Amino acid sequence: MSAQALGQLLPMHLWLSACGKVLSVGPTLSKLIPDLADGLADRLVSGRAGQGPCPLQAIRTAVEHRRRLFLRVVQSRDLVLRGHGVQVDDGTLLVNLGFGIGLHRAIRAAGLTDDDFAPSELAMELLFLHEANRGVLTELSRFNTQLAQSRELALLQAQTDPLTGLQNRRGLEIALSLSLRTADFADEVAHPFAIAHLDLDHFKQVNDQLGHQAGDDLLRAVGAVLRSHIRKADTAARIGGDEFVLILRGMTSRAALQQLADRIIVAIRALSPPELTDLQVSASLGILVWHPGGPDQPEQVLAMADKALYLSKGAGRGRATII
Amino acid sequence: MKSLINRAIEEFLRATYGEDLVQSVADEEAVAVGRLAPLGAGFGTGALERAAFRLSKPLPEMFEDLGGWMTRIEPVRRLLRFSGRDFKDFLLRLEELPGRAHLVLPDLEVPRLQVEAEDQSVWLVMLEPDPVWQHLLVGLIRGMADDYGALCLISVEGLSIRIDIWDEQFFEGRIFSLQGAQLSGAVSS
Repeated sequence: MSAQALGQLLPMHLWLSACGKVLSVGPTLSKLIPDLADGLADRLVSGRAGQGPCPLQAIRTAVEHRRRLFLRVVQSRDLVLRGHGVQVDDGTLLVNLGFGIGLHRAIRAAGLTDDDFAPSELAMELLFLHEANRGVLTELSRFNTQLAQSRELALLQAQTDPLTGLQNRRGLEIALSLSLRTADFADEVAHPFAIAHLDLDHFKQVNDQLGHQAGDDLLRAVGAVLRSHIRKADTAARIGGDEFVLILRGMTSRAALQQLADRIIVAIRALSPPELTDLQVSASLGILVWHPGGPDQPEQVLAMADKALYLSKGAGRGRATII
Repeated sequence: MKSLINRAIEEFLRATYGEDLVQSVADEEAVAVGRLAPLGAGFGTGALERAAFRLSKPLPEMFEDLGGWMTRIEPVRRLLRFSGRDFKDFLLRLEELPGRAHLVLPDLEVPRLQVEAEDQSVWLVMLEPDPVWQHLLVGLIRGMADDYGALCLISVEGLSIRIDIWDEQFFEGRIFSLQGAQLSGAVSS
């Protein structure tokens, strides 16, 4: 067979005389290693660990034992060609090589095109699959990110009171259970906190006399007041009608709580609509200081704060009771 | 998988007719269903029908335009170019399209195709006739003729598509190299 026909049939072949002289190199292989025809030395080394580096020795061993042959390209060390070889009748060695998983690197290293691959090779299919996979994965991960964002938004909305932008009852329950939870490791206990249950005084009259729009405006303004009186780590929630709850982390000082309650009451009184001539909107609070070892159920804690709130209401409203 | 198709339709409408149309189609869909569509589920072929109605355009033409638009999306174009070194080769190997599509999107049901050729004419016959796919394919083939730089006449004959190639290299097509994808950094060496 002429070297040209051989090159057409096997564009990645390497044909060696019995003593290792290069007789012919396939056109694609010579694109990859341009001067391979001048000799194997310094251009290819054995790509199999545990064998010597001599490429001719590697080829001879592979041919003799009918093993797979691995040859590393010296000028691009990360490229290992693989293939097999046979001994032709006249004693010459014919080797056919391929790229395996290193296909992309080979294409980049030698600027290969469609024409450089034998039709029987799956190179184009491998490239097709690679690009297709990447395209689909990119799309899927984009979609996943979008889903995660919407989920986060939905969760946030599910815990938010749309009128005031504070937490709703659900959000409060989550925050309260987290505050009550004892850390499991290192004997750490939950941190103390104060929970304040706040109820507006005469809110019903605002609604009845001035309309629901005025009522909503007032609730929104109270929400803003509460938000401005708490710290970042605290929680403010509207759990229904004109009922609000604050969780104040680490606040155990009664004096400080009393001061805070007074400031909130003053600020809320200032919101009282002037049209409401005979009454003034105010707020009553019931505050429970919780210490580790106290009741550990959210409902219990809320019920106790609620009880304190009723004490305030019973004592004439517009005040705070701390228990 | 469905989200991929829906997104393709949405992006096609957005790129071709603008955000306003996309919004009004989405609104109409929400009104018809009575609620906002969940993410990725709002733009089925129903959306294409609504868009066609709004634009007073025949639906087949919408599918054709969608097919043509897909060939201008670079990753899709590259995948299509992998299956033929020239336009004729591309046409003759369209029989492989369902198999290739199956490799990428196993759920996508592409009808089996049979290609017949005589001189410079190629017939593409669908073994499971489907008007939607037929129009989509016409748009796709037209787009790829542009990509390869071929001059041809594409006509629909009953259930088959006929392509008469006048000049395979009428103008310079777009460049395609195997390394294209590597340049964008997918495989590191």
